[in-house]
Amino acid sequence: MMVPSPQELQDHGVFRALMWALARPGEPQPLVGGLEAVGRALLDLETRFHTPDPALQRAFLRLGAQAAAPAQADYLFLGTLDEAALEAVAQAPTGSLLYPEGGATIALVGRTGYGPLLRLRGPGIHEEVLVQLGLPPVLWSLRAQRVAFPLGWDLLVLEPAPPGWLVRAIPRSVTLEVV
Amino acid sequence: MGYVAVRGGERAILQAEAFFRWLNGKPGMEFLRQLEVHLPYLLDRVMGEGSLYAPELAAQAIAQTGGDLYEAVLLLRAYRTTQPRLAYAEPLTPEAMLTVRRISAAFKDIPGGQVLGPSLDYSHRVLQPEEPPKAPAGPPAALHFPRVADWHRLTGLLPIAPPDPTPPSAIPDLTREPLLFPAPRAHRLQALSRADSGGVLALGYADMRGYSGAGGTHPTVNEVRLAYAEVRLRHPTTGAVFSAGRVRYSQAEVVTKFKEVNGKPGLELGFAATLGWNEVKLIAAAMLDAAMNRPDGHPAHQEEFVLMHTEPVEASGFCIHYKLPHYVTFGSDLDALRRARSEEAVE
Repeated sequence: MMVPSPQELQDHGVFRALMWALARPGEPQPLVGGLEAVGRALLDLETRFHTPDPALQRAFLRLGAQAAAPAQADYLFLGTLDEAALEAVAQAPTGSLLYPEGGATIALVGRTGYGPLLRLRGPGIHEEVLVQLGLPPVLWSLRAQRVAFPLGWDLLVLEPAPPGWLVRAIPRSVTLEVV
Repeated sequence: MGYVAVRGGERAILQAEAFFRWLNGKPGMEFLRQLEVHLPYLLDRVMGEGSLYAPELAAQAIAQTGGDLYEAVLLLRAYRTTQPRLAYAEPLTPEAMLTVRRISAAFKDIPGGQVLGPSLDYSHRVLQPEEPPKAPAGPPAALHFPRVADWHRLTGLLPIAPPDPTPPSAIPDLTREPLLFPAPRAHRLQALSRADSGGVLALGYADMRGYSGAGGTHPTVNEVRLAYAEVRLRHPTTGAVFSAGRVRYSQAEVVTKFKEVNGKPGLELGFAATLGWNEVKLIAAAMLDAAMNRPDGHPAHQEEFVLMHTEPVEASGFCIHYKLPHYVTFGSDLDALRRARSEEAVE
């Protein structure tokens, strides 16, 4: 019988958490690890990623994934949102009407309870979700410019929650309002 | 599309599934292992159409669905999509494979000779409750055999095929991209490789019979090969090529007359290959490959008709979706019908 390895089980767990996070935007899902665990669950030989973090880059290259410029990346692992990271977000692909799946997935590290209050509405949300993610207002104005469903990028916002992490997703289908 | 979300019925759904499992029982590990050992052609068919070589999982899929092969193929395809792509195997070369059967209907004396291998082709097709007497084992055949098509290439009947330098990551991949027409050759061969065995046979047979009156193709089976192929990978750090294991692999080539080769009349080749051993599908598929670009209107001569309608998961899925509630569409049809009937009555 084929028995999955501990690493595979972890990857499957992370993948399911991301799936639930995207299905229920704004609601936290537990993760066993941070950006590296997310990358392990999502990346393989045929995916392109961008990250400014050299250690993450080494780890992802070992998976066989290809490092790429932000504009060519399928996945961006940006960590904290500094000037360079914002520039990467601005360049991240949003897909085309024929191939909307070409839009990127962007993983960031945020902090709930801080920063602007966001009102989320849309598929997977019962009425509305109010949340503070600790991410700067400039990100949300950038999102308003770049994201127009079905085009745009999907956002994964991670934060440490010892002993693990939490992830919240804001897929492109969400209507987001800074309150 | 007139669909509407139907709510409720969860209990009924759970009961339906429980009833299915109760009727069919839970197969044990021993049974799954027996499936692998004694019904390899069944597993081959499911793995070929599922485009995933995993005998243990194929056995599990067949058992879990009670032997409903379309459902089993769907389970393998679904599982396949969850797997990361770790590496590209080196290209397979038929002459390097451990070949157990290689026959040609074109010439008796092909280089290397006719090797019947494991086959019931030449036996009586009668039910045999008792195991028939065993013939004593003959001398073993060679392990490797050249391609019959290469012989035609040497004699100029087929064009020389130069090595294709396309890197594996750039080969069009049907499991990652939609099928568009005209399809790249890679997509066509991939689609035939995972096509529904019955569907390919039906269309191939229609072509063989010359149903449209446009004249059947009547090709000759140049080569049928059953082999164990090494899945050779390049080590990511050392770069050394190593074998990760063997898969059952089969391929068929047919030749049709006549195509111009280097300004002279020559042969046209049709080709199909798949994971697992599935001769009837491959012969039909190779004939379709050769016939698919003919200008007449025969459905089996149109790439789009053949490839779209032999896709087992899409075809079976579309067919059974009709079982799902169509209350709104049908209700609207009935409304229109009733209106028309009452108007008729008034007139």
